[in-house]
Amino acid sequence: MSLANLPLELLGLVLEHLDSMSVLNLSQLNHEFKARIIFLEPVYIKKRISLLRNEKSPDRSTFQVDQLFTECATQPSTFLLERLTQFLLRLTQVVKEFSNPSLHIPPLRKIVHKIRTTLKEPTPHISHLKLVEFLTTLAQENFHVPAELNDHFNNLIVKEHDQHLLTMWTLLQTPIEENLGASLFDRGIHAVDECFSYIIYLSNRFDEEQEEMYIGTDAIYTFADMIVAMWGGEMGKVLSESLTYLDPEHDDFVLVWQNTSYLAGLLTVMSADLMLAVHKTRGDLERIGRMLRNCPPLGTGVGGML
Amino acid sequence: MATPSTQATVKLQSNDNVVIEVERAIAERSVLIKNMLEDCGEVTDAIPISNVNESILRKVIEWCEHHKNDPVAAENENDDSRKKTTDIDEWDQKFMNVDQEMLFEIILAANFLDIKPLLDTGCKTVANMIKGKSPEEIRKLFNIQNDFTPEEEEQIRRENEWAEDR
Repeated sequence: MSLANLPLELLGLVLEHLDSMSVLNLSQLNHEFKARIIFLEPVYIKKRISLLRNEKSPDRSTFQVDQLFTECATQPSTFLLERLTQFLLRLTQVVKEFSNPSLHIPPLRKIVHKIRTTLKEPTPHISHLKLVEFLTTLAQENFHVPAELNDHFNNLIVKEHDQHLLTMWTLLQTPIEENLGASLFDRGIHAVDECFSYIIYLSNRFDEEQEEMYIGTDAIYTFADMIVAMWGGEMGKVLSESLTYLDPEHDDFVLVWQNTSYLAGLLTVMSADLMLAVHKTRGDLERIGRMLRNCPPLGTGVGGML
Repeated sequence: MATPSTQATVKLQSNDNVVIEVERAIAERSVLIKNMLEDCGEVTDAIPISNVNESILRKVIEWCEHHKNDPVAAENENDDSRKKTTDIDEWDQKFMNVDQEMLFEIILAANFLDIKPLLDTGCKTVANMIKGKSPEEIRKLFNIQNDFTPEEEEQIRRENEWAEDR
């Protein structure tokens, strides 16, 4: 028996007594350890957060938030943005419990550095998806985004001539409002427009790589989350709930299903639910119809249905 | 429900068929054995400890004897209280000063016999051996084969670069 073949559950117990840097080092021993640490990491993080919560400190809130972000910044990360997003979500849950939940720039600097080094040569669609997830998290949790990070994203996006992402990033920087007024609705429509266009843009790429089903669904959930984050309230909920109607056998959508792509079907369900449940005016429907008709992969079938 | 037993000692049989007689109170540091005795009442035959050989079983019994008067952790006690520190008391440090093979076997035995304080001490000992060491030092210490290619190592180095203070 040795460390190399210690059962996974027992290795997990050892991790509970380790600092993050040591865990990071363990993940670099070989392939086996890398896989094991990645597997155990969520449990480990939970335990660490639990410990930090209980530790006494003269300045409890500041100390713990700083500690948490130091932990965050030193975690091993293979799929950086995905996991950063998870970290931020987990950490936010804890941060919210403190009296002073302000987030500190110094720890974020490490995140910025990591993003910079990782995204220098991004894989086109994956990095975009992960980037959107990351931005979504920032928006959902009202994270303060340092100007340095903002500039980096903008440079990255402009460099890649990706207007869809640029637009979404701009929208995400707009403060989240509590009330759904007319102007916010206009902004929401614009966001839906951009989101749908971007999904279609992505789906074209995925078609080429035959990853449509898996990543397409992932992308839609991401965008639904983003819209919930941006709008909040009923409209976001409706859009999110509409994702439960994804049964391709559903009578109402069978024609769409047969004549268009998987993603187009989803978009129709989402937009129809959104319109029927929240804004029923003919003008609204026409507006969405026009928008969908203008999206090349959807063709006339979807627009016709609307 | 079995009748509560008043027997003073129990026999434990290692997986290499050695029978060791120990005080019941000491054996009951193991939650596994404690539950077994409670369920079965009087046990005259040796209890087979199928996953543990004689030398490890004797070592575990030695630990249980030393800690027989320690308070038993309450069932619902928050796990965090026992995981806050990697401090190990002096006696336990000496006890755990064994070769790696035995150290990991003790951990496995403590896990099998459900002796949480011993399991914790073992895991803390391993954690202390790892702390502050570079990946290469850890590999050497635990004789772990590095199967990364140079390209993969470079990739990992880049991935983890950000964790370093700059």
